[in-house]
Amino acid sequence: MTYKHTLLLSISIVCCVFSTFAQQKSILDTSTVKEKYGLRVGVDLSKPIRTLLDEDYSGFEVVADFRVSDKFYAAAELGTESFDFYENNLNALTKGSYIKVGANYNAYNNWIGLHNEIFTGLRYGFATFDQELLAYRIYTTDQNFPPTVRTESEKFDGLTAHWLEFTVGIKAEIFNNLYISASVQLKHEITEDKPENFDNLFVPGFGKTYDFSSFGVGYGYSISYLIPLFKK
Amino acid sequence: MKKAALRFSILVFFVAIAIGCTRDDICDANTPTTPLLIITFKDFTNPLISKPVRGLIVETIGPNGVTIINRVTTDSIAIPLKSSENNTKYRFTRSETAPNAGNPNNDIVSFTYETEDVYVNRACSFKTIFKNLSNTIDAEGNGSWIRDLNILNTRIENDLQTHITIKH
Repeated sequence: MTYKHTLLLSISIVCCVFSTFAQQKSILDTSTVKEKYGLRVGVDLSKPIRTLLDEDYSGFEVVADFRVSDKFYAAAELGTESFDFYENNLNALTKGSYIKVGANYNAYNNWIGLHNEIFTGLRYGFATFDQELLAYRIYTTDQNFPPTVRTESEKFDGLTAHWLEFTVGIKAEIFNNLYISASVQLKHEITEDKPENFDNLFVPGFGKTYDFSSFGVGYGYSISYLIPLFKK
Repeated sequence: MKKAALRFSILVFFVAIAIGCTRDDICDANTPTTPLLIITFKDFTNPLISKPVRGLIVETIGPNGVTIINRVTTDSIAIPLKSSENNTKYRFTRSETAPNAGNPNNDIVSFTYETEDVYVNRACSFKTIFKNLSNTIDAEGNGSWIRDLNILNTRIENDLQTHITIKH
């Protein structure tokens, strides 16, 4: 996306958020209406789609949340991802699984009978993964000799990473008990096992890492089904 | 809480976009990568004095020989070592001479070393450092213009300081 498109997208999303928040003054008192509580389970759609479109990537994620109070939901994601980092000078393959646990806060007051959400949430993320350095080209400023490429692969097993994630998103009930959701995430890595004389180029669940920053970003689109358990 | 949450969400959203658009796939030219071998030339009779070599030619030997330094009068050079091998052979030629200082002359210097690859970052990938550097000099039949070669540091990790001095 170009800078212009990125800017347009951000402005339009912010406008959407504002326009939906503007409605909250006119809501009715919902305290007498019984609300559905239950377990909501689903899958992230963005990861299978990316698996189809991006030959270097494959991933799958199950999402779940459980309503614990009027505004709060306990939430978790469980997934697996693999990514083939293939750049000019470096090729490495990362594979592993992750879990994220935390909570969402619904900041949106619904009209009676509607169950939509504008939510913010926090997650603690943990991943366990393997990384295989497949090939690299020695970087040199000298042009006199042909480039040296090493292709002896080296495997780093049992790596782990921990991070915190802040998420912002929307959920809409499209049919009875069936929800679609979109969210963006800002992540901050707490700690990771660095392979000796190498680095984690990708962490399952966290995504691409950066050389000069411990922040990361992510996004998700999910579809989920609410299993109603009780009303209160 | 709602308002604070909203403001925070918007902030997070913009920070996320800013991070997502950061480029880190181009190796910064200031990043130290594979070092060059730094050689300075000194006067044989007084090693404290730098002595430029007149019309220095430095080239590799063989059918795919390349000329690294071509007829330059200088008292210091930086030349590459091959990361793909444990040996790099150079022909050092002094092509011009001062009056009464002898004829054009070439010597073959063979550098032998061990290589070790060190991870730099995702854009620069790996660099090679060279260890246990040693050398031999072959006068190629017509006497040696290199009178003495000193390896100051057998470990070539960066190109900030002199690794070798040659007296002539």
